[in-house]
Amino acid sequence: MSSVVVNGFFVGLIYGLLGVGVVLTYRGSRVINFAFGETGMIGAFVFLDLWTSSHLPLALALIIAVAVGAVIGGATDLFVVRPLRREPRLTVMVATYAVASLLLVYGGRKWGTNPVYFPPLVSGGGIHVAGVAVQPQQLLILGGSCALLALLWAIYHLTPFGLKLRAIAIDPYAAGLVGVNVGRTSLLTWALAGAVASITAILIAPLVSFSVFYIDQLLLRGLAAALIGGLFSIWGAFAAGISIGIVEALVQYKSPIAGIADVIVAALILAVVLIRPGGIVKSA
Amino acid sequence: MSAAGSPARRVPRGRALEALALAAGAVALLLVPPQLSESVTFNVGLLLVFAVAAMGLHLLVNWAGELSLAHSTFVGFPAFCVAALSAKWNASPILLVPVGIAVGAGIGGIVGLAALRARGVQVALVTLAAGVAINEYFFNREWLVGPPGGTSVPTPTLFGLTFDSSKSLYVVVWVLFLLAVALMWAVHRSKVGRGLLWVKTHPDAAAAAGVPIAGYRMMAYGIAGAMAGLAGAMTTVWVQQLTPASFPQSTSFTYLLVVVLAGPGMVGGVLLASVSLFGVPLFITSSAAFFSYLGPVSLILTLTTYKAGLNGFGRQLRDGLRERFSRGHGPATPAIPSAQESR
Repeated sequence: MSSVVVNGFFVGLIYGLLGVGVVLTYRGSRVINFAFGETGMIGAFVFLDLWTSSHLPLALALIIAVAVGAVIGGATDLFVVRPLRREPRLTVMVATYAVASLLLVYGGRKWGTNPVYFPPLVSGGGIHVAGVAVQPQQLLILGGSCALLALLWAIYHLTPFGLKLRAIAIDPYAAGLVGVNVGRTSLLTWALAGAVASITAILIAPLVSFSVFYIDQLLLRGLAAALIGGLFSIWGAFAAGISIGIVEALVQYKSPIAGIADVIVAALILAVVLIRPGGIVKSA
Repeated sequence: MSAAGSPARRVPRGRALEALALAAGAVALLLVPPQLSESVTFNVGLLLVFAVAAMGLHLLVNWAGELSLAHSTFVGFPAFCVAALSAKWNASPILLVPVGIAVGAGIGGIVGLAALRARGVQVALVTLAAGVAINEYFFNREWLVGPPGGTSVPTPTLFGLTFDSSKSLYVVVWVLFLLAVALMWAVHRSKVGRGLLWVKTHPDAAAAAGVPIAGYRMMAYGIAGAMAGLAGAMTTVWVQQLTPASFPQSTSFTYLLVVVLAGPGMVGGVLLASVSLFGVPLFITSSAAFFSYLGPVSLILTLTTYKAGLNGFGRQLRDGLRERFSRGHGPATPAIPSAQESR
């Protein structure tokens, strides 16, 4: 049983990271960014090309890939989200899905639609936890997630930019009235989310069947993590993602029926909406 | 002079031409595709089926202000039910179309019930989760979807006629399509249509006036589900060999893109949006980069630059034509937009 929980925990880390990405843009723009996964996909493929084909050092390839993600995120805000600022959020949400389609077409034409081999970023023997062999890549996700969350916490709580982000998260209109440049802050938020999307995709790519469609099987879990976490809380989304991973693993272990995991995720979402609509963590 | 002695109301020339153009379009839609190849006729039929499903979501999103990311499931589940019953009873799937509508309305109501408590983006996530859960759970059950190759339904028959080709069957799909358009028109003009609009735009005022908000929201999901159920049954009639891959979850997003591109208004925008987002990739199978990027780029440009959608563009065009045809025929009758058009 403990091995099931450990496995679920590491799968949940992936969901948690995706949930954090969804929360970042939702806090800044009140928009569910459906292009989050595809933005990360482009970043991860750029990283793969630079690292394995062009033989660039890992760190340099990583920096460029993260920058590509940030540029895509920023461009999404500049050319799609900003012109729709006064439109219903549904329209903006659909527009982000159109961006996702555009990135998918680009990715499919450039890298094909079949899964590709994505080598692990780290190698080694791994460790054993509760009788389960934990791969080095899984440990990297754990370490990378913690580092990323710490970085986001520092950005949000220790920098003037973070203060503006929190002000916009609470009330964008009031933030604008007191002098916060909402447009520029929104641009930087989307760029930050794009960078996080790239990091997330690069971290999880070696553990999943990585193709341009990699997000299809993960999207619902990422969104569920964000919703259950309260849509505004980065930590809440991360914790919810881990919880979903563990619950899913336990249910599949107890009753291995095809499709039961998705029923459980839907039930969790429904339960949160019915019992605690604000999510498990209420914060702005 | 009318019998009552008052002058008979003249139908404005612009409106008469509009009606004529619509009738001509419907007749052309009936007569032209069967003159083309079997595969083109098949694709036109698929487009009509898609448009019927999109109309259901159009009602839900653009008339009622609700949202569903489970629309592909609303279509797929009834389609499999009709296929399974048709194969089991060896009955013509055309006769089981009402079953598809009823199942669609039921599943729409169930998802609507779940979405009632949700607000804003929560509705998107609740419906997406419900759709994925139903897809992953039920679309893996052999009693519903049949063997891995899919359930083969009997050849459609009706009143002793056997429809064993796309060209012969096309008239059935065309009739069902017109039925769906007529239903949408009737709902748009009815008390229900006005109620949905009121609930969408001023829910507090509607509630104060005694409109049962929850009931209307549920009704919107039910009607959307019924339309999707009709589309699902039409899919079974038209395709006759269904597999779970026929209803991918991503199609729910395509439906949503179509109705947002269509914008508020009647079904004309939905038809145009269906043609551009579903029909173009269906008919133009070129792998040229231009055609690959055409859909998403045009959608982004339309959303960000022309925000009234295709229906808004159609209204502008129509008003311009009416004004033009009214010139020289006495004072132009000011076009009084209906409540829903004036949004």
